[in-house]
Amino acid sequence: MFYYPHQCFVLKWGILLICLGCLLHPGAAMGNHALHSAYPFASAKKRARFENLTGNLRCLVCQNESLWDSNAPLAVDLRRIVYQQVKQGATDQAIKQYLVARYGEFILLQPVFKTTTYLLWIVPFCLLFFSMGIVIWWVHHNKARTFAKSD
Amino acid sequence: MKWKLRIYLPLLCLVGLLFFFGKAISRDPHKLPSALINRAVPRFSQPDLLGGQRITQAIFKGHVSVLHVWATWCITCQREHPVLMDIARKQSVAFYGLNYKDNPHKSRDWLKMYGNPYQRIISDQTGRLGVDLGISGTPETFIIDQRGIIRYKYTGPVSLSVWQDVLAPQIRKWQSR
Repeated sequence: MFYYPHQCFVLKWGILLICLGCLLHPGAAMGNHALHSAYPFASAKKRARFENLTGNLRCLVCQNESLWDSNAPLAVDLRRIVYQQVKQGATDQAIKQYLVARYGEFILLQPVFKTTTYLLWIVPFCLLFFSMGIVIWWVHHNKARTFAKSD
Repeated sequence: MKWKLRIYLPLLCLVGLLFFFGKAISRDPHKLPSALINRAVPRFSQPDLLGGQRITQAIFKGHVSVLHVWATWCITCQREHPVLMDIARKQSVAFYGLNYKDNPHKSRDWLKMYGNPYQRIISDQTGRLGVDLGISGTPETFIIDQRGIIRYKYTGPVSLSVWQDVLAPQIRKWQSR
């Protein structure tokens, strides 16, 4: 399939870069630009915090959308609460705690990293390395067999 | 023996994964566990839907209560209403309503038309009390004990079997404490 070594090289490293890019993609989606006027902020820093916070909180009605993206009535209510609290100067941590106290940790789009969620965080990486290991071993094994046959 | 395991290992992994997928898919994503179990009802002061004095968290003290969250825009609530009327007739527990993000006039008219099973109804037009109670939809039903502590939350319509098998046992449990 590969006639030239550099094809294999490009493919390998290209895939790796794509995977890394997916992993590093930030949680907040900035698509809902119409919201800018509905939530005025005096400071750009506070607006950025508001967008980041609501982007990392789950809409409990449309559960794969963030509070930033969703138009469900509950999301509108919770966005307004986050807006008021950011305006009043509450910290990100305090706002998250406020919502987690009422809705549980499920409202956080990124699970908290603690003992009960270690597996949740670590298993995907383990699976990735494990399968990469198997693929590398398999390719190596096949190469060895092909060379042996061609002797 | 070693080579046999290598052949069946992907199949075993697949069966394992399908088992977990099946369990996850059959869950109702809107039945979320309440973060308020075993915590006191938050302090509040809301209008009574039917007029009169405002209602506060003190309404739950001294007896086991059922707080039912409903709205006229919630179709499921309308379908479960006859069951609620039935429960109210038996009068075995304090039965309160929380009118959630609704129009008070519409709600009063609706109750006049279909009957009022609630001893008192808290009006939460803005939904702010709902946020404090962790409400994510309607209908939801809370069981609150004599000290005003939330002991159970049921998400979904209350049918006769839900009442008999799920809610009534919880009520009896906390009434006997």
